[in-house]
Amino acid sequence: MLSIITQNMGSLCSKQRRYNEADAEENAQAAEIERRIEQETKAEKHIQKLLLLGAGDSGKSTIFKQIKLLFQSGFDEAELKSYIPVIHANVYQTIKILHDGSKELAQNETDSLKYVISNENKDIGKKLSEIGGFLDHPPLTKELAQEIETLWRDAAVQETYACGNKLQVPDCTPYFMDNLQRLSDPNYIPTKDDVLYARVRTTGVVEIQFSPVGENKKSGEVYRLFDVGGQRNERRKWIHLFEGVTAVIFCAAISEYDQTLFEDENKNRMIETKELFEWVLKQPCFEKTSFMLFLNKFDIFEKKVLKAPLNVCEWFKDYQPVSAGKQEIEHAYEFVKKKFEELYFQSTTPDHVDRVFKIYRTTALDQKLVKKTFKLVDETLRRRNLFEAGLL
Amino acid sequence: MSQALGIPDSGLLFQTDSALVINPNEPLNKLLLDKRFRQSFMAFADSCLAGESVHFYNEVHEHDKIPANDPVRRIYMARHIIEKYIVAGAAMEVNISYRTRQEILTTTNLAHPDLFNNALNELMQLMKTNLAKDYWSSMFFIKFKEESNTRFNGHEQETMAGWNFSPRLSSVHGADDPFHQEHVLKGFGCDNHDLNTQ
Repeated sequence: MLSIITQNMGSLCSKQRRYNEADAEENAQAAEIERRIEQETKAEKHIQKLLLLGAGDSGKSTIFKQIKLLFQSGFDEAELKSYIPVIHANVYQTIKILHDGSKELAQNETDSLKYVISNENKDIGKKLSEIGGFLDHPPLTKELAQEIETLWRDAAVQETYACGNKLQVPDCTPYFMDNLQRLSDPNYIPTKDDVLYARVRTTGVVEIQFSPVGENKKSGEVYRLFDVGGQRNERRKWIHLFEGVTAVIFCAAISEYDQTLFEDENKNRMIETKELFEWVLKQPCFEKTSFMLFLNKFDIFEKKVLKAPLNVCEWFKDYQPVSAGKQEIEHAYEFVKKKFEELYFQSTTPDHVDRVFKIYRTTALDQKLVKKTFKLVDETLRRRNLFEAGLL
Repeated sequence: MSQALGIPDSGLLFQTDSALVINPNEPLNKLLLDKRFRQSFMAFADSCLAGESVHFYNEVHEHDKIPANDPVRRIYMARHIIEKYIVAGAAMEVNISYRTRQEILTTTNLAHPDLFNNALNELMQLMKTNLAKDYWSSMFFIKFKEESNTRFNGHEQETMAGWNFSPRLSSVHGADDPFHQEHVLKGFGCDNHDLNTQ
């Protein structure tokens, strides 16, 4: 009898032991997860490398400036003022491009007369064109600003600007031309927007390190963000940055479908971006890297797409407009987005099946939008981190 | 190439033994005439992978020293510069516009003294607006000032107080960078002392 009881007691005990074991195992697992989360959130031990890549003029540096504004201490007055020479240089260079461009179009185009600058503006034009070519530009005085404005408003110059896609007219042109009086004020201090619009080609590599401070301040993510030049000569330098990259933010300016490269006027910018994106996707170091595609310059895209059909670009030759106004803009955008999606999947192999790929519609000049977009990027990367650590 | 062509040593563009005050407000093209400044600036540019512009500047000035009545040497130097800096895909291809590149590549007169003027202009703009700002707040400039001051005793040291320290690059090559330990990044709110961990 006793033996039966002991036997039963034994089995009871062992059942209990199994439950205890299961509990203990769960506790151990939970402790392990706790410990690993703690490890992951220690900032010093986990700096995540982000690369801004893309062709020239795609908006990488503007995103970079936005990140500085959002997550570092922003631009103080000294830094804002340091942009004055750049902004003034932009103004001089732009008016020179427009003036010289109008002369060129007047020579080459069939309806050449509309590109001929009016007689009273010819001298101003010549003078400004010369100044624009100087290494050191004169300070932008009220008088000079007035002359530039006069030339800008010349019908021929406006016509030239209207087909600015044939020339290398910078995107910031209308913004600066509409603000000349303010920019030429002797006490001018650039605004944040002025700084964001200022155009400087990046050469080499620049980086910042930052920690996005979210609602959960303990998150401790630290990002190291690298900005690069996008022109062809700059791309040979990219390779130095390709190791250990958490995510590539690839910027594609979707407004550039009817423009040619700064460094090669025989090449369509959109086609160049397409080929570049393909190349980046296929890099062996990026097998596990997350890809965030920023379809940028939407503000310019939505104005352009109703006037210049998408199918001037070879890649978009099968585009058919279906309506008008806002609906058509959305339709055109979805078409472009789909093209990039197809491109992504064509360029990936079964090895890449786990790789994160997200597309975002951006206007890099819009601080709110960039902030929102970056938040989404950050969430995606954090989730990815946890997934890779086996915690999801 | 300048040595091979017997061009006298490039210090000198312009040398001075007097106490050289490097004033960031001076135009960059003037400052670059000083050999030591040029070397410091070049080292900085190299460190952030933007050196080709400064090297190009250097070699174009070598080229410009060749007298006009020596077209053969000019042509050799011009060809060398074109192969190294201008041709698409060149080892140190510079960041210039299509038209400027084409002008050089399709020139009928390789001996022309102004052959590289437009390219130089574009690259000077690039250096001015893109690199110079970051140079003034870099370790390279600090080192340059220290070295200048030890050379010219008693020269009053300019204060650095006004310049924010914002490095362009704390590390591209990871542990190779000897300076990253001292970098202080503007207010990003997390510990600075262990920036090189991966």
